[in-house]
Order: sequence, then C-alpha cells, then structure tokens
Amino acid sequence: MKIWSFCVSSALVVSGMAAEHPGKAVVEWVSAGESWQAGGVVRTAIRMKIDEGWHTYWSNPGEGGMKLSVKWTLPEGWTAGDVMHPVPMHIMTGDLPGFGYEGEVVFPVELKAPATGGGEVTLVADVSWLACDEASCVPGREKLELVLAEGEAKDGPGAVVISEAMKRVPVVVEGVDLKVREVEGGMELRLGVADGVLIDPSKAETFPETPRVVDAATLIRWEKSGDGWLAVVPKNEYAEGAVEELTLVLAGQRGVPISVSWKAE
Amino acid sequence: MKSLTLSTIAGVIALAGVLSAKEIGQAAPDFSAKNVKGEEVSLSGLKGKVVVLEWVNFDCPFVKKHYASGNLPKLQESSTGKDVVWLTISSAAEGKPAYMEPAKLAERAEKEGNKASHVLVDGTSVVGKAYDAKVTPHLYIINKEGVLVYNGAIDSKPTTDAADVETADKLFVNALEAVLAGKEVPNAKNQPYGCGVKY
Repeated sequence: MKIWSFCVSSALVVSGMAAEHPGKAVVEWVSAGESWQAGGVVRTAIRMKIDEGWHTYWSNPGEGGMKLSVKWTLPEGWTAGDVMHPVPMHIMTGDLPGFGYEGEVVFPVELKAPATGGGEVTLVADVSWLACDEASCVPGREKLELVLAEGEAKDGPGAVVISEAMKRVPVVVEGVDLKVREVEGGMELRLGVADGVLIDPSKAETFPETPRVVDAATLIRWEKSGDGWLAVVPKNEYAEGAVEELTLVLAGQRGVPISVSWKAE
Repeated sequence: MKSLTLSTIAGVIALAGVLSAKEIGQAAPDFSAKNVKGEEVSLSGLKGKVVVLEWVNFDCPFVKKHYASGNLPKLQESSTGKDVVWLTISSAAEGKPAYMEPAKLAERAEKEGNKASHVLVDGTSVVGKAYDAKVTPHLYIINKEGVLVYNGAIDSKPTTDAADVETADKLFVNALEAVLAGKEVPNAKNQPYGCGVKY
C-alpha cells in the first residue's frame, strides 16, 4: 500500500545526484488515514525534507530566519489546530544565532471535522518557509492537497510517521515549573522538577520558545540550586520592557521533551 | 518611553565605556563611504537633514519582497520628496559572494527600482559594523540634529510574501512620520527581520 500523502512539488529529480530543490526542501502532507468522520479528528503532518547544507526554522527562529507558515483552505466547518513544532537545534545563519532544523523535520497538525456532513473532502495547505545556508536564504512555497473519503478511521503508514514525530513535540508535564526574575545583567530562571519526572536539566538542551526574551546566542545551562535548578541568562536585546512570559523547551536524553511556561503575575 | 530604574542607570554608566554610539537617543556614528558613482558621502555632510539608512542585499528574499511589491521604491521616492536623504547601503564584504562591484550594484539598484538619494558600497563593512546592521533590510533614522532615532524593522511581518506588506504594521513609516512631525518615535528600537548582512 502506498503512503497516503500528497506532494504537488514541481521539483525535478536529477538522476545520479542529490536533487536541488527551488525552495531547498521538499514538503508533503502526510495523513494518518485516508478517511474522515463527522465530529472526528484527522491526524496529519507536514513533512519537510531539507536539502543538504540548508536549514529551516523553529517557531522561535532567533535572529533572522522565519518560521513555517501555513495558510489553510478548508471545507466549511473544518478547523486546523496549531502546527506543532518538534525540538529544534541551535543553528547559525552567517553571524546570526537561531533555532531550526536540518535534514528531515515533521510538523504534526490535527484537523477537526465538522459535527455533521459527509462525502469526499479536499483540504488545502499553502505552506511557506525559509531555507538558508551560510551565504544565502531562499523562500519556499508549496500548495499541498489532502483528499479524504468519508468513512471509519483506519490508520495507514502515515500514522507511524506522525506517531514518531509526536515523540519530538514538547508536552507540558505535571511537576515541572518555571519562575523568571529579572536581575542585574539578565534574567534568573528557576526550574522546579518533581521526583519521578524523567529529565535531568543538567544534561538537557534548553530552547527559548518565546521570541525576543532570552538572547538567542545563549546556551542555557542549569545548575542545581536548593531543591531546584538555576540558570542566569542574558536578556534579548529586543525584549520590550519587563519580561512578562517565557516558555522553554527542555529535551533530555530520556523521556519526552518538556514544555514549561511562566507568566508574570 | 521606558522608565529608568536605578539598576539600569548603573548598568548604563558601567557600559558607557564600551557602548558605541549606535544607541537610540545618541549621536549617530559619523561615516564616510563612496556611492556607486565613486562620490564620497559623509553623514556629517548631511547635518540638518533627516537621514534614512537602509541595508540592502538585492538577492535576499526579504529585500525582494519590498522591492518587487514596490514598497521600498515608493517609500524612497516619497521620503526624498520630503527632503529626507535616503542612503541604501550594501555592507557585504569584498570577497563574499554577496558583494557587488559598484557598477554592478548601480545597475541592480536601478533594475529593482531603487529611488534612494545614494547607493553606498561599504565593501569593508565599516559602516555596517558601526551601526551593528544585522540583516537586510535593516532601517535606521537619524534626525536633523544627527541623533539616532530609529533602529529596526521595515514592518511587523517577518515573511517573504509580498502580500503581507499591505497588512503589516508599518513600523518604519510610522517612525519616519513621527520624526518629520517632530514627535517622539514609537517603537524606536525593535528586532529587524531579514537575511544576515554578509560581513
């Protein structure tokens, strides 16, 4: 059985060499199954294969860069959830520090079907991204289509792609909390991790998901402090006024990546 | 405007020695650079005029967005019509692929519809580094007194889609209008978006 996905890329594959694509990446829209039911949810994902030597960006792209954007054209009553971003990596675009992806990246997104109705439906995702290498940046854009028949939900091969991708999407975990305080020269981040939570902050990679709060070049390092963990980081040069909120992503060697948020009271 | 707390005042004093004068409210760093015709243009020679600095790389998709849509050429035309001096600057270092010889840069600027007062070739990146220009496009405004009053983005939508120009908050335009009206500049420093300057 073929993988249930549609790709309307006009890219040509040159035989015998790695294909270079106009947007320096190929995107496709993967669906867990081939069908939908009234009132149900269809699990899908935007899968992006990035040309070697190029990178694309996280939801907080850092300095420069651009996050993935999707403009939906959906049948009446359908809604799309947030495009979920997996854990990124630190990347440099020339002199500019940021966060993004190389190789293959899968962005899960859930579509909610209307409570009533039926028949075959066609959904459209107009996807835009920016790919950069050391020297230049190239915009990419593809209009992707997903056709779903009415019927009982049944997982196809796409379901595996999505389930695997979900393992890299940060989740909010009970027992992890964050406090932020501005101090001379930056911000003091305090992380509380309850017993039984599978993460060791001293070995985790930490990324600031909220843009323009933490300086994008900073490697956030946690040190044990009392019952919790402490990191002092420089404030982003473009932070406007007092810091009001911050979401961090922690990716450790064990367990799922964790998302933890703080809001000023 | 932000209120200064004691600690930030202390911080400013401590940092004063290392700060270059590229901060909002301070004298804009003077510079002298050749335009694409080989003429020397210096900031000190433009005292008494409002000066706009626009960092450019015509191959950057964010720059293309604002030239292909006609947004930057229109802004350049309307601003210079109001006695503003508009300097379009390429700080790509000589030897980098993004660097263009003056004649080639002139040709490209004309092709893109550039209507700046001057297009400057900063092949040694001295001007770009003095202002800490980060991306293209990155915009600065210097008032008639030679004080830096804006450092930031052209608008609020960090995308490459020309259709977003219409709906974005016009951060730079609002700032320039405030400067010309003698009013305080809103959002005087904000994060510019674009491609990194190729130093």
